Amino acid sequence: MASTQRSVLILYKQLLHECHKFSLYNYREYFLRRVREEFHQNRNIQDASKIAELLKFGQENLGVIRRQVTIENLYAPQQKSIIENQQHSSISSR
Amino acid sequence: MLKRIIRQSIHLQPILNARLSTSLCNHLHTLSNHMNVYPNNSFWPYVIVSRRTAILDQHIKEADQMHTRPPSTPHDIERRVLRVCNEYDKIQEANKNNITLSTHFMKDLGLDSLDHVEIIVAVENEFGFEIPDSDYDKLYTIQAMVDYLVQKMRIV
Repeated sequence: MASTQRSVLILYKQLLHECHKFSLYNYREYFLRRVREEFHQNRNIQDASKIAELLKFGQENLGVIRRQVTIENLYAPQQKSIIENQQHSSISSR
Repeated sequence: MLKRIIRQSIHLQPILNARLSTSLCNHLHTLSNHMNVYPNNSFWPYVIVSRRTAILDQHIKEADQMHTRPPSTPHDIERRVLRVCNEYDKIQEANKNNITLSTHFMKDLGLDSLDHVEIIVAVENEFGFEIPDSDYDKLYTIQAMVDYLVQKMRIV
């Protein structure tokens, strides 16, 4: 159904937005990867009750990620990691 | 900010050698940043005038540094969108920089709706503003995305 597909995509977008707000490279990459993997694994499920359950699970985790972002920003890391600096310089040198 | 400037520019008369009880002295450090507490229970509650001008100068310097970005052309926006798409790993695997303006994400590159959302999120992060959910349906080709962004950024 189009409406469940829409709500899944909206949830996916919200999760990706919140994940990008992490300032620490490790957390950000981990959460992005986990979100992508979960959505990819469950891509082809047709059962409506299972989809509803997974949507609820996603909403709970969206709350978890939001709270963790806030907490992490209270104790922000002082330095960027080396990987980020390398990526940043390769992107900006184009 | 204005309140802060006014507060810091108020210049009180110094109270010479006022003596206080120890309990009040212990609380003095919390009352104001500007008071100097001497260990023999006397205090001088006045704001130093030179501190005021230094802070005002800094405010003026910060305001001076606010400048607007140069207006971006559609070609600029195209370049940024193409760069964002080329950095996306599934597109890199599939097409190695063969992306043109007319590539359709689903038909030409074989991406699904989840990937489409990811690309739009990357574009949102690049340009710094949120694209509403109802507009996601319009943005299936790169040309459509560039046109949409040009329209949005010209209006803003």
